Amino acid sequence: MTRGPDIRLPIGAMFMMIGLLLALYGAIYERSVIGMAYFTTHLELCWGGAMLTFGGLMLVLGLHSRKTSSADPRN
Amino acid sequence: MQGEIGLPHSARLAVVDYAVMLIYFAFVLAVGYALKRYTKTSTDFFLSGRRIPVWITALAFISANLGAQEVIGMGASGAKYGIATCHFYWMAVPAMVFLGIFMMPFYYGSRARSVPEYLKLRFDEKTRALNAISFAIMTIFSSGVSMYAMGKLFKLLLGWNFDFSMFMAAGVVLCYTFVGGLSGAIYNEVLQFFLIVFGFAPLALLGLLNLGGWSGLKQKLAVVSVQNGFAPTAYTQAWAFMGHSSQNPIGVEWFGLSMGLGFVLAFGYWCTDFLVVQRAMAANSMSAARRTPLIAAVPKMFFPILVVLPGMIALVASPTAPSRFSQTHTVQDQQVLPGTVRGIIPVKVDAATGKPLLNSRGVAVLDYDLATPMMVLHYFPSGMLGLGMTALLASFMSGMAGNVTAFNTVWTYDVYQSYIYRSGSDAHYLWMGRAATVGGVVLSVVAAYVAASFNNIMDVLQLVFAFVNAPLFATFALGMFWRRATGHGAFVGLVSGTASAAIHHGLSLSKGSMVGIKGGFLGDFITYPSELAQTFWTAIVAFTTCLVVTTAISLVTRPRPAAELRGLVYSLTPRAGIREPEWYRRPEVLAVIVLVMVIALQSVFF
Repeated sequence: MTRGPDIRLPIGAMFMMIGLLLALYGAIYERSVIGMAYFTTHLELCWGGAMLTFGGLMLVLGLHSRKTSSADPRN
Repeated sequence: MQGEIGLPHSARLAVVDYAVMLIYFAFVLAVGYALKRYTKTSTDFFLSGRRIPVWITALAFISANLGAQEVIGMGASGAKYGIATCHFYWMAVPAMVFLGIFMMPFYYGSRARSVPEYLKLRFDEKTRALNAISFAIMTIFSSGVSMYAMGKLFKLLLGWNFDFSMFMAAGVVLCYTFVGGLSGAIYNEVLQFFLIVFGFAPLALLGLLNLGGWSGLKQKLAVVSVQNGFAPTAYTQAWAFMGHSSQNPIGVEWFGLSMGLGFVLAFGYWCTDFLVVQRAMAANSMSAARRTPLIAAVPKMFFPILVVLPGMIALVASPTAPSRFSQTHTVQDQQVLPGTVRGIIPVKVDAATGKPLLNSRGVAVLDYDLATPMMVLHYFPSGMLGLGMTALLASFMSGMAGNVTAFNTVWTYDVYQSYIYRSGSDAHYLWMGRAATVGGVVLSVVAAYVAASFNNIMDVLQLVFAFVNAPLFATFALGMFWRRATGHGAFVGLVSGTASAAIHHGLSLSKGSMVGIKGGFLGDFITYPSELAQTFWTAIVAFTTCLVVTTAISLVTRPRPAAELRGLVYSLTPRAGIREPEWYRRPEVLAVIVLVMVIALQSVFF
């Protein structure tokens, strides 16, 4: 049975890209009224960082699974 | 910037917002294209080759259901009914458990390629045909209504051209489902699931922070509750006021809620709708197929935080709190009558006169469908706004893709192969599946324009779905657990159940509704306190009628021999001997855990 691609890789990549974009945008361009009202730092920076972390985790899991799978002599 | 009539503001997306959307589109298309080389046969295209890991099928199982009507509709219901809306999620859990423990062995083990095909194997061709044709029509209209709602919403919120929104979304969905088949839809549903979570979670978080947490929200909703004639906590306690329909905003008592929603509608949808069952059928083993709805039940029960809570917050959020509009605009009152609590939800406006629509008590009617979109516009700055709008877009697209992939399978296997061309090659049916995907998307676009042309089309379709879905579980339950049930009984039972639903609807009306689509067209004999109560009782009537008629007809018609029903009926099917070695892989253990969790959750918000 042919296994499909690991969805964690594109999910990880997409979240890292969007997370980085939001974090950079928040850090460089805008101090939002909303963000400053509720957070001690930028909303965009915080949430972008959260997405970046999640994306990184998915990428690590996906790559690890790929490595384990290719090392398995049954594949 | 002044938005359209009825909406105090619309938004203009910044470059960063468009960049977020473009990244999403690029990945969605890339995922579909990457799956092309794994889609060689019709089984690959329609059932993902039955090789998808369980965590993917589980997330796709709920993501396929997370369409426009779900995300927007549940936010609207949250604003209108409060925490009682969560019952739509919590009461789905027992149905999902039942599907995983008792029904998936038959769907997966019978090697049926679709739910209608199971009906053919268990009963006969006419029962399969009735289910297949009604399901195919419903999915196309559901897909079309989703697209229409999306086009209308994005026009209202962002000023996008209606046609552009629709064709863009339809085009992207067509690309990845045409190329990747069910796998393309499933993998993207998982991607869309996480996007929806990350898109809406900050909404709930910001809203709660704005209102002083859950206790602050409770205090503000208490004011609304008392104003509407209920006890202060009626909007924030899920069961305490279900003793009588007059005590809660949803207008239903515990029996109608439990039986109508919790049993008939929940089991009727989660156990028989091919759109969700198809995801479980794509799993890579029987054990994975059974665990799919059980694992899906965990995020399902917590999803109200993302979709219902924003609606509740929208009802009481302060329009003058820090928002993307607070620096340059003040919220206009829109001729709201004194005493109307509306938070950030705009009033409905008569398109012809431009004046607010009033209910029978002379109070302005709120446009609850805009509760969640207004939360996005109100709380999200640039960048986050792009994320929020992309999450909305993702929910529309996952719902549409789910409908299209279910349609192309039912069309190809249950209509085309069964009645038009039986002896084609596998390559031919793969080609037909792709053609049906194109056809399904085109028909969805047509259905969207039909919805745009007729004001009440969505109400009509909701009604038709309810009539057709309500009796289904009775048919499946009798088919799977009573070997005496016959094809004639099943067919007549289904038709009778649907007819009884229509008749009951025609004889009843909810308070304040006009005779017509809302009911009473055969005479106003039964008055319900709310539309939901009417819907739940219609479902109970339909289910009971189908059960009784199927049983009666089956008893006077000849059943099939037991040998033909092995693998299709519970009592005639040997139990699978394989037991998972790890406890957390055993469906029975997962079922108990999930049921305990949902009971605990409801106890907290009792």
